[in-house]
This record gives sequence, structure tokens and C-alpha cells, in this order.
Amino acid sequence: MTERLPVYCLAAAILWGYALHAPRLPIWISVVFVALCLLQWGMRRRPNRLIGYCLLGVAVGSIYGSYGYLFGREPGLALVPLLTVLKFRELRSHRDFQVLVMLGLFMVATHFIHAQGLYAALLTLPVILLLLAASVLLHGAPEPPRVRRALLLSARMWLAAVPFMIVGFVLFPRLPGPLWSIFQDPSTATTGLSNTMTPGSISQLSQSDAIAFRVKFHGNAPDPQQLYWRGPVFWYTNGNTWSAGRASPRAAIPQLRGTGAPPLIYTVTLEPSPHRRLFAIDIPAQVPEGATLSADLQLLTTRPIQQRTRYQLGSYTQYHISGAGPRELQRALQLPPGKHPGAVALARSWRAAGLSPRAIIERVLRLLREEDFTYTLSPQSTRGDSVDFLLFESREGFCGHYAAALAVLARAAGIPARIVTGYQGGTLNRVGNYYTIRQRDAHAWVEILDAERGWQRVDPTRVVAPERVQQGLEGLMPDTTLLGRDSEVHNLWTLLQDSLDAADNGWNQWVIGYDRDQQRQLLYSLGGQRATPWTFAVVLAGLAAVLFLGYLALLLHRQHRATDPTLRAYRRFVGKLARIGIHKHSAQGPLDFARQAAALCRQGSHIHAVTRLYIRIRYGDGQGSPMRLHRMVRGFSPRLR
Amino acid sequence: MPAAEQQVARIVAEANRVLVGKEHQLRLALACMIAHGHLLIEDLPGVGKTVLAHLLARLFGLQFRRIQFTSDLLPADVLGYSVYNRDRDAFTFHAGPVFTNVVLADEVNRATPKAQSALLEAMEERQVTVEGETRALPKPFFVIATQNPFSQIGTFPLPESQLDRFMMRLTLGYPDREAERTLLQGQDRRKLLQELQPVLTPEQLLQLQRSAHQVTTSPALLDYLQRLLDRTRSPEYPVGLSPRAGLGILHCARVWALMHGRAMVLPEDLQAILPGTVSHRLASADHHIAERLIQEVPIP
Repeated sequence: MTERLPVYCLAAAILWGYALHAPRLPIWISVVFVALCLLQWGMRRRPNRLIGYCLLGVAVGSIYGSYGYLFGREPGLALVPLLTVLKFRELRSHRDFQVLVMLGLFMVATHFIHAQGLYAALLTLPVILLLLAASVLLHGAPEPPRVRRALLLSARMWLAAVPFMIVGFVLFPRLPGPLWSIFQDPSTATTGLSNTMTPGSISQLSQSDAIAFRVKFHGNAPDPQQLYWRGPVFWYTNGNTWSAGRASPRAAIPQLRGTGAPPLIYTVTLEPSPHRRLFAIDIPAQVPEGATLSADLQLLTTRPIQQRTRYQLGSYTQYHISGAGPRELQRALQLPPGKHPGAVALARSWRAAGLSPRAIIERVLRLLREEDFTYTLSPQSTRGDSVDFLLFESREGFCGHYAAALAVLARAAGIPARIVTGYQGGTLNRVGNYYTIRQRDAHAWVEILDAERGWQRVDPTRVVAPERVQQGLEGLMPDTTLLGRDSEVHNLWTLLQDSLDAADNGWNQWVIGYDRDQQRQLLYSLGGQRATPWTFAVVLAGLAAVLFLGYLALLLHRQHRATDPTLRAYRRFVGKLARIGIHKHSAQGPLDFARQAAALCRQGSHIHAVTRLYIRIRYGDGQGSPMRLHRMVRGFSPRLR
Repeated sequence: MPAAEQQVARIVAEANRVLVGKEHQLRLALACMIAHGHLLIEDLPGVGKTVLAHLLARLFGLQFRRIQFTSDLLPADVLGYSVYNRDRDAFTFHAGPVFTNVVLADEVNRATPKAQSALLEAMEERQVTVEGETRALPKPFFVIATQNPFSQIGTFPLPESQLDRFMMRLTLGYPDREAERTLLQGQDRRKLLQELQPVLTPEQLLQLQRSAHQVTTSPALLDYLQRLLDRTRSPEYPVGLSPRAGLGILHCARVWALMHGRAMVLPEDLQAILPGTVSHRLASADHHIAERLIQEVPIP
């Protein structure tokens, strides 16, 4: 390889490609990669075979050292860039070059195993263009500026491939689930609400900006205060940690009834999580396909949500839930013996004073409201009993603390209660007109069983810090933005963030989320309800045939179609005359033909004028405008005499 | 350029009075003359070859000599020779008939190759070397050679390499009925010729020759010419056209365009002069080979 430019271009592509992988590769792999790169750069002469094997050993050794095993997806992915760099050593023929280009493309493809987002996809584009440009530079040497021309040409090639990519993407039979999830270990999925609750656990989530799910309402969105996204329900407490406890297998699903407006209809796009849970606004009026409704109104799936999942739901925001059976009543009154002595004593004193259950709940809420309780994300670390510490000492806590306190007080007073966790609120994306619910929107509240009204939601946080529920968590956070929340810049910034998230959401919905169902729906909408896999095959074959024939026609047309605009205009002129029966022999000169045509045609002078201009441009000194010729031919419609 | 067209028109009109019904051939011969070429006329005796040669000389006011080629013709009879002059005690050169503007080499194939080549070298070099001394021929210099196609007995046909030196080969052919009638009714040709006044001066002819170089030949036209040349170099043709032929054709086409008042060469110009310029070079018995060539090659 004597040409340096294509090699530099290729090297730039490989480096960029590696940079995409680098953040998730162990640091040692990167160290070895950089060392190998420097070595390749420094070596002028091709070193002997022995050194080559040594370098290979170092590469494989570093992978084994980093992962502890060699045969698996991750070590395999790490091996690709290292071997690519080693291949540079053997760069002598065009064939080697092509192998490297292919390796580079493969490296880009493996990037999608870990990242499928819109921006990840956009970041791979320069690598592809650079690789194509390297090939262009190798094969044909464009005029200077060579690199710019090569990049332009590769961009054009890439654009030309886009229609084929779209057709292939839309019509090629979809695999059930993305290819890369075949290897995926569910435990590596992102975190979310856990299956247990200690009062502090939610405040950890509140630090996370990660998206839990996005929601699009069909129709008007409700008041943010009503957006209680129901998640895990906890019955059992050991004094510190709340968990689901053991549910009765015969527990009947209670009777649900909407008491107000018709149910809200909305579509949720859930991010992957290790859990088998769907989220719904309190309370779900219907159950999506593939999910079941538990006795405490959680939507559960049979398998963990390994990939982004979309489902449509309806919910009642005003509702009536029928009461519980004796087994549920017993679970809803469970308290760990000997724990929370202060709280239990307080509750019993209210009970002894003859207060009704509703009055007792009122009392608790009044206590939380009137006494100096504060809502904070970083409460003092608990000393002693968590509930007593909150109620009688620190008087500060997070939603989990207050929910636990209310539940304990209620149970101690003999009122059945359970804790419901989930999310509350959400951020409206003004660009995409949907709500984004992030991990920091995680919330916990309490459900109290009222003898007449069934299970009723009571949110103690709403009493302590009404802003939390009305404005979301952001309303509570100190204003750390430089310019204040209401400034123009801040609004613009929010708009930008919303736009980026809306683009990402669109990508997730339409590209990543394009599955068999969507494909089938699309084909139904194209081919009607009777569309079958055969329709599908016919459509695909038909499109392939059309594309192929179109390509052939283009080739044939190109052959006849002159690139010179003058000649093109003149051929059109000749074609127009041929249509009325005046044919030009291929060896007939333009003047002869003009004489022949003018003798047969009414527009003799026009024919001569066109011919004069054509002759002047094509055979003369090049003066005269092809555009004018084009216009003259366009306005020409010959008639026989 | 329009001036050239008018001049040519005047010449043709004047010539038509003498050489009836041969306007196209006359124009081709004119083109050949303006293009610095030499003309070979292959035809029967008595169809007007001599008249044509004479005409071209008279119309431009040029000197005219005729050499009758016979089997005993020597190069010195063409070029000239030196004779010892006793008075001056030196050799004096007696210029041969070739030292003139227009030479008619009648029945050129009757002479021996040696005599033929003397003429042909003079045609090519436009100068004559006799006894070690080089003498330039007058300007303009134009040779019209004739040969009789039918009586090949006792002749020395010109080899192909020599034929290539003629820019054009024409046949005059019999006149058509109307022209023949005019001819029969009219006066004696010789008398008419003598009465003819020059239309243009020799200087104007040289000017025309210079103007021909100004005519544009576009890339599109050169494409067409190259296609034509390439076609003759295929196995279907016994001999392909030489680069010299290509140059000759192109220049002749320039002159043709000039004679029609155009500043650029069109495919039609090439087609018009092609039969005259290529048929003797392609060594084919087919008289219509040039027409066939034109039909076969599309204009790009």
C-alpha cells in the first residue's frame, strides 16, 4: 500500500468506531488498543511473524484478564477492535484493505448490541461515511480536494442506499424481539422500583433521571395530581422493610367501579426493567394483553420487561373498590410485635378515646400538617425505630417515611392499611405532547380500607408537602439553575430538552419498537384485513421486481440519455418530430434534417431556429445557451403541413 | 466567411458557362484546391478533364501547364534540367513544366514509376531538388492528375501509397441529357475558355486558403470524424484510413464549410467531401463504399 490517504481515512474510521465502544469496555482493553495503535503507527517495516503472534497473545490475554473468560458476547465484542488494529499490520493489497473496511463496518454493527437509541445510531454515521470514503479513495482517485470529494461521494452512496434500507426494514419479516436480546441477561437491565421498600430506598431513586416510561393520553390529559401510577403494593412489614408478603392464592380480585368520568385512555411505552410489572394510573379499568391483574390491583406480566414495551390502557381516576376478604383484612392489620412502641401507643390512645377510623386518619393528617413536619430528600439517618424516630424526633422524611408512618398508625388503631408504591406526576413534553415519567418521580402512598367506601388512597406526602404532588419533585428542589426557572433561556433549554427527548421517543416508537404486530398492522392497512403472510411475500417480491425493473430501465435510459444538456434538448426535439412521422436517420446531419423536417412541417422557421442554435452550441464556438435551446424545444409542438 | 461564399458562387457561375452540369464536381475540385490538396480525376477521355483543369487556372488567373505522361517520360521532362552555358561558363537550369501554378498530369499511369514519383515528390514537398539544388515551386501549386480506368494494358497503376497523396479523387462521368444538349448547342469549349476572364486573383486564393484554417472544428465533430476513421479500420475494410487521410478530410471539410459561408464544420460538411476523399484510399472495388460508410456510422 503506497497510497497514504485511504489508509489515514480508514484509520480515522476505526478510531471513531472504537470510541463508540470505549465507554463500556474495560479500561485495560482501551490501554491495549491505544498501545497497539501506537505500535502500528511507529512500525515502518512489517515485523516478523513471531512478533505478530506475540501481539495477538497480548490482545487475547488482555481480554481474558479483563473478563475472566473468552467465549461469550462481551469478550467477543472486545476482540473485534483489537484484531482490527492488528490487521493493519498486514495491509498490503487491496484485498486486505477491503477486509479492514468490512471489519470496521462489523465493529459499527456490534455497537448496536448495546445502544439502539437515535443518537447512538447517528454517531455511527460518520464511521460508515469514513469507511466508504476510504474505499472511494482507494479505488478511484477523485480530483482534489480528494477527501472532501470522497466524503461527498460516500454520502451520496449512503443516501442512495436509504430507500432500500427503508423497504427492507419495513417489509422484511420481523424476528420476535430484537436480535441482540437473544443473549441478554435480564439482570443487567436498568433499575426501577424494587420489590421491597425501606423508607430510604425511594430517595435513592429520586437522584435518577432515568426514564421509567412515557405516556401519551388519547384525549385530554388529566390533572397531574391525579397521576398516581400504581406499582408494587406492600402488605407485610418487619418494622423496617415493607414487602408484598405472601398473598393468599384464593384472594379474589375485588370489584372495581368507576364513579366519575369515563376511563382515561392512554398508551404507555415502558423502558426495560428486571421486573414483571406494568404501570397504570390508579386504578386500571382494563388489563392489557399478556398481563394479569392481581388481587391488590397490580398489573403483572409473565416475563420480565426485557425490551421497551408498549401497551394501551384505560383507568378510572374516581372509583370504588369493594372490600377485602378476612385473609386480606388480617394481612392489612399485620404489625411486627414489639416495634414502633411510640406510634402504636399513640394510635391506641386515639382508639381508646373512641375516635372513628375516619377521624383517626384525619387526626394523623392533621398531626402531619400542623406539627412541624418537613419533606426532605436527605433526612437524618434513622436512629432506633424508624417510624418513632420520624414522628417524635427528626420530623423530616421522604414519601416512603410518611407512608410507612401512616400505615403503622392506621394498623395500630385497627384500620386496615397497605402501602402502594409507584410514580406520581410526570413531565409534559410540549414538543411530542406526551408525559415522561422518570425514576425520580417514584412515590409511595397508603391505601386505607374504609368500611363503606372500600380501599381509599391517602397520600400523607400531600399533606406534608403539597407542592410535591402538585408540581412534581422539581417544584421542591432548590433552584440551582443559573438563570432561574422562568427565564427565557431556561424555557429555551426546556424546549430543547423536550425536542431531543421527543426525537428519541419517536425513534423508540417507530424504529426500535417496530415489531411483528406493527408490521402486520401496516400490512393490514395496506392490504386490508385479508392480508396474510402470502400477501406479505407478494408485496416484497413485487417491490423487489419493481426496484429491479426500475433499475434496469434507469440503466437503459442512462445509455440513451446524453449527459450533455444541448444534446439532450436536441434529442427531445428529434423525438417530437418523430412522433409526427418525421424520422431522423442516425447518420443524418442536423442541417439536412432541418431541411427535410421544415419541408414537411408547418413550423419551418422554428425548426431552423432550433437547428441554428443547436449547431452553434454543439459545432460552433460554444457560444449560445443550452437553457435557451431547452426552452425552445419545450415550446415546440410540430404539426404536419 | 460570407465573402468566401460569394466568391465561390461567382466562380461557380462563371465556370458553369463552360463546364455544363458538373457543378458539384467543380465545387469539390475547388475545395481540394483551397485545401492545399491535389486532385486525381479518373475518367474516360473526352468528358472534360482538361477543361476542368484549365478552368480552375483561368478563373484564378493562374499559370497552367500540361504534361502528357507517356511510357518514355523521364523525370527531367517533368522537373527540368541543367545545360552548360558556354558564354557564362556555367550550368543554367531549365525549369520543367512542373514549375507553374496548375499542372495537368494527363494519363499519369502511363509513365514509369520513376517519372511518376518525380511528380509525386514535387506534389508532397512543393519543391524540386535537381542536381543537388532545391528549388521552391510557385504558390499556389495545384496538380490535377488524370488516369484512364479502362485501358490498363501497358500502364503503371499508382500504388496505394501514392494514391494517398491525392487529397481527392473524382470522376466526372457523362453529362446528363440536358447538359449534353446545352453542350452540343453551345460554342467551342476552347474558344470559351480563352474568352474567360479571371474572377479572383491568385492573392485572393491564398487568402481563402488562409481563412480555411480559422474554421472551428468542435469536439463533437472530431468525435464523429474519429468514429468514421475507426470504422474503416475494422476487418470489413481492406485498408483503413491513415492519419494523413484524417487530417486531409478534416481540412477539406473546413474548406467546404468556408465555401458555404460557415465558421464551423458540420457533419454534413464531412459527409459531402467524404466520397471524394476516401474512396481511392480504401482500395475497394465498391464504388459506393463511402456512402456505405456514412450510413453505417451514426452522428454522435
